This record gives sequence, structure tokens and C-alpha cells, in this order.
Amino acid sequence: MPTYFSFPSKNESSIAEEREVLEKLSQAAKIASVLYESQKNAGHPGANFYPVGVTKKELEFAARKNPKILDPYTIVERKGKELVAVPYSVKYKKELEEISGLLKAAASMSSDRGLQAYLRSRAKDLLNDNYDKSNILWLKTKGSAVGCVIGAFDRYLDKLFFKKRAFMAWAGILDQKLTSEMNRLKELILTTERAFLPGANRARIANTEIRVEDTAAFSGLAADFLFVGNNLPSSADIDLIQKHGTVFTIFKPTLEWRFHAWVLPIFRRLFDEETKNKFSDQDLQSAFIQSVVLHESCHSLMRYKDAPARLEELFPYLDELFTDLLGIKGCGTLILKNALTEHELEAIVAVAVCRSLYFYASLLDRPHIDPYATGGALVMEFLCKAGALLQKKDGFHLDSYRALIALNQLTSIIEYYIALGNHAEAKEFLKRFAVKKIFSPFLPYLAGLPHGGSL
Amino acid sequence: METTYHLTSKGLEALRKEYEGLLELKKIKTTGDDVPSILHSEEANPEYLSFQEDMVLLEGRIADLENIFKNAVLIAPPTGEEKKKIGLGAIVTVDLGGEVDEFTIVGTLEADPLRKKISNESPLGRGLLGMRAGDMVKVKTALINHDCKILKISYL
Repeated sequence: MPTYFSFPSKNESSIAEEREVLEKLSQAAKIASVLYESQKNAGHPGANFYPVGVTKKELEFAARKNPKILDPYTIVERKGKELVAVPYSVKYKKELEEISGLLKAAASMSSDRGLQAYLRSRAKDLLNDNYDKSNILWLKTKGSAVGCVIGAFDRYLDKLFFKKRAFMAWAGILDQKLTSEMNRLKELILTTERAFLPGANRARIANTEIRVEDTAAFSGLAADFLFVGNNLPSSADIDLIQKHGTVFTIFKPTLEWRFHAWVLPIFRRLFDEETKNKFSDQDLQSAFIQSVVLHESCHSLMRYKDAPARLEELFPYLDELFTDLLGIKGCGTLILKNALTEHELEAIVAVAVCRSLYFYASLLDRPHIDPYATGGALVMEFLCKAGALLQKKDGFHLDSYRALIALNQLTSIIEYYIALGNHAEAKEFLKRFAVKKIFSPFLPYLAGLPHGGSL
Repeated sequence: METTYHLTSKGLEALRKEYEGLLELKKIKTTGDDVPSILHSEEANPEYLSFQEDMVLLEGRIADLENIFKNAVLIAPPTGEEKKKIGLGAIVTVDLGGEVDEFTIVGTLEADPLRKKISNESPLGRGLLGMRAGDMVKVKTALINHDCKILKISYL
């Protein structure tokens, strides 16, 4: 599967300077995809972050003597009988220097001072294995026409410890209008104060900004997972986001692709006539964008600080599902305030079903997205058991009322594991859901859809 | 039947400002040099059609506002025992099944959930009117069923 994409510019208002800056950033993003490819290894849960064949126990033992073994920015290698940690800045020196040079060149072409400062700082940080300074400057570029994130961030490839960061990058032009609209929804969701479970270690995120971008280049882990949006800095840098906040970038090309190639076709195949007649394509497209914003906003709405350390590699399985569920739950209060209609919420629930099936269908080509597919399986299991999804002659009928009750129950269960649960009990809980079996009744409706594939 | 519009003095003032601005705009549009001629050639002048469209919208909004002024009822802060009950203009803190929220109950014209102004005609607004601090209210719609505990009521 490709891990670098470039998209033709759709933003006619972008000026020559922005296009030149983007060109340099796209070149840098391309190099980031090479680094990602070298980290990726689908055949090993630790990818290429750890030597093939090494056990979790062996790594934990070595980390007691040398904590750098489990540092987010090192590659672990065997040297004789020893395990050694090689910093990314050493391992990928040549490529990182190239990226750094391109970022500096892009900075010198831009007249946007905030962007200049950020790109120059990121150029330095890439060579130091610590992005804190440039992350803070990234958060200050929120109004910049050009947006770019490049470096090692998300931890999904490390299925042993959920610690090592994989390379990724994107660059694009801000869509001001859509950004304002989506920030409105985010504000609505984040306006309430949610009660955290007693005894849990909560984290309050300083601020969340949304950027909707016409993405020009997309690479590394972001491209491999075909993200429609990404929150950076993320929970991996919890202390930083508690103090300085985070930016959620929405990528218009993948958003449109996922809706038109997957969500809409799945909706048309899966549901019965009565359910289908309830929603227009426009209703579903709006619901899809809303669900993406709800999901990412909820990453900031509720954070349990110690959850990644407690749950290790199981954290993304529960966390991604939890934010989906919280988003849907939050819509309930928006309806009571007349800030959202019941029809909109019903469309969001229908889209949640389609998204679950998309993740499962993509699993064949992108096995690393299993945290999302597993979350989808739990959603489908709860909906079916509650009678919210009933198979009829002409497809599945969605009972939104039952669906909301079922998803509410699931939210409470998942919140326990995220807030207080330990690794062993979370593992036991997830084992109860046989993903393949749960999705099997839906497979006939997916026939003929393209595989996870390319944009 | 005519609708009654409940407004705070601030809300009414904002609408008056909007009204005056629209009257001024109408004057400029209809008396200025740029008023397009009815026909440019044998076909309808697109500029004029667009002008006409703008005027219909403008006049529609002016008429709406005049109707609102005619039927406006100013929200006055309650006195005595009524202060302990939720009415229009009340600032309310509630626990909505684990979410603690604070907002003001306003008329539909001023409702803006983003700015924490909830309409008295929204399911939540309707359910809360007349209630007191400590009361539990069930707020229901066809899909949503929430228990709501009223934590605090105040008026400016």
C-alpha cells in the first residue's frame, strides 16, 4: 500500500508563494514516507522498532538497565547479546538532515512569520529527537494559510508497548470557511464539563483548534492509515497538550474519498428501504463530517492521563472507540438545546454503522487498523444484541432509539476501562468479541466494494 | 394567531440596530446612482435580477423585524418567590446525566447554544421552566431521555 500521496490543488485562491512553500514541504513529506516504510513491519507486533524475535519481557528487562530502550524515539537493535537503543536522529541522520534542509528552505520562502518560526524550529527538533518547542510553535500557527506537520508522532505501529513513534507528514492549504463551521460544532461539544469517574486520573486539555485543509501531500503513517483527520500533539504528549492544547487537522481529500468510496456505497447496500429513505446523500455527508469532528473533539473532552501507561498496546483499541461513543452521547444534549436535530443524530448513528463496516472491510489490506475495526465490531455487536439493527428482506433496519440506548451502555463500559481498568481486565474484555464472527452477517452487503486500497 | 417574542433589553436593542442598518441600506440601494436599469438590452439585465432578489430578501427581513417589534415582550427579572423558579432570563446550572452545564434561558430569537443561550422552546428549556434548584426533571424527545438535576438558579 502506498504511504505517500499528493493531491492536485483544489484551492484556486492559493497564491504563488504558498504553492512554492507547499512544493518544498511535499518533498520533505516524501522523505518521511521512506522513514515510515523502514519502521513498518506487518509481520512483527513491534514492527521494526525492536529486533525480530525479541520478547516483551526481554525488552522490559533491558529497559530497567537502559530506559532508552523504551524511549519513543529510539530503534532497538541487538549488538551481540546486548539490546541497544539507537536514537532516530542517529539512525535516520541522512534523511532527517534532508527534511530539515527542506523545512528551512520552505520557511525562507514564506512571508508568514508564525509558519517560518515553526518550520525552523521543527527543522532543529527533528535532529534532536524532541519536538516540544516546535509543537508549541505549531499550535501558534492556527490561522496560517499553509499547514504542515512532519516528524515521528503516532504510536499505532508499536503493538508491543504503544510507545515508539512512527514517521508521518502532511502539508496543505487552510479551508477557512469549513474550518469556521467545524470549530462551531467543536465549541458546542466542548462547552459542557463532563463528569469524570471518581478516583480516575483526569487530564484537562488546554485548548483544541480545528483546521480543515486541502491537503497537498500526505505521507507515512497518516497515509498508510488513510486518516481523515489527526490530532497533534496527541495523548502521546499529554503534559504538553494539557498546558498548550492541540490542533486537529481534517484532510479534505481523504474525507471525501472515504465518504464517496465507502460510507455512501455501504449505506446504500446495507440498509432497508425505510432507513434509506430517511436520509439524503447530503444528510449523510454532513453527518460523516460531523462524526469526524465529534470524534476528535472528544479526544480533548475526556482524557484519562494514565490510560496509555495502564493499557499499553490495548489503549488505542479502547480510546478510539470511546471517543466515537462520547461524540454520539454528546449529541443528546445538543438536541435538548436545539443545537442539533434528531434527524442529524440519526444520520450520525447510520454513518457510525457504515464506518464500522469500512474499517472491517479495509482490514484485509491494512491489518494495522485493527484497533478501529475492533471498536467497530463492539458497536455492531451492541447494536445487534439490542435489536437496533434488524435484518429484513431488503436490508438492515436501523432503530435509532434502541441504537442510542445500546451505545450509551457501551460508553459506560468502555469508560470504566479507559478511566480505571488494568491491562489484564481490558484484555479479557476485548477477547470476548470475535471480530470476524461479529461482522460475518454483514459481509454479503460488502460484496463488490473495492478493497481498502488507494485513494 | 400572532406569536409573542420574548426578548431581553439587550436582544431588543441588537434587533433595533439591525433594523436601522437595513433601512439605511435600503435607502442607499434604491436612491443611489448604481440602481440598475430594468432592461439592459432585449433580455433581462442579470444585474437587475440580482438587485431585485436582494431587495426581496431585504424587505422580507425588514417586515420580519417590524412584526417582532409589534409583538415583543421584554423579559423582566422576576421578584420575590418567582426568583427561585426558572423563567426567561434565568441563568441555570444543571447536571445532565454527568455533564454539568450552565446557560441562560432566552426566547427563540436570542437562542445561541454556542454562547450558552438556550431557547425556552427547546426540549431542555421547556422542561426547566418553572422548576427550582434541587428539582429533578426528565427531559424527553423521541430519541433522547435525560435526567436533569437543577443545581443553581440566578438572575442578572
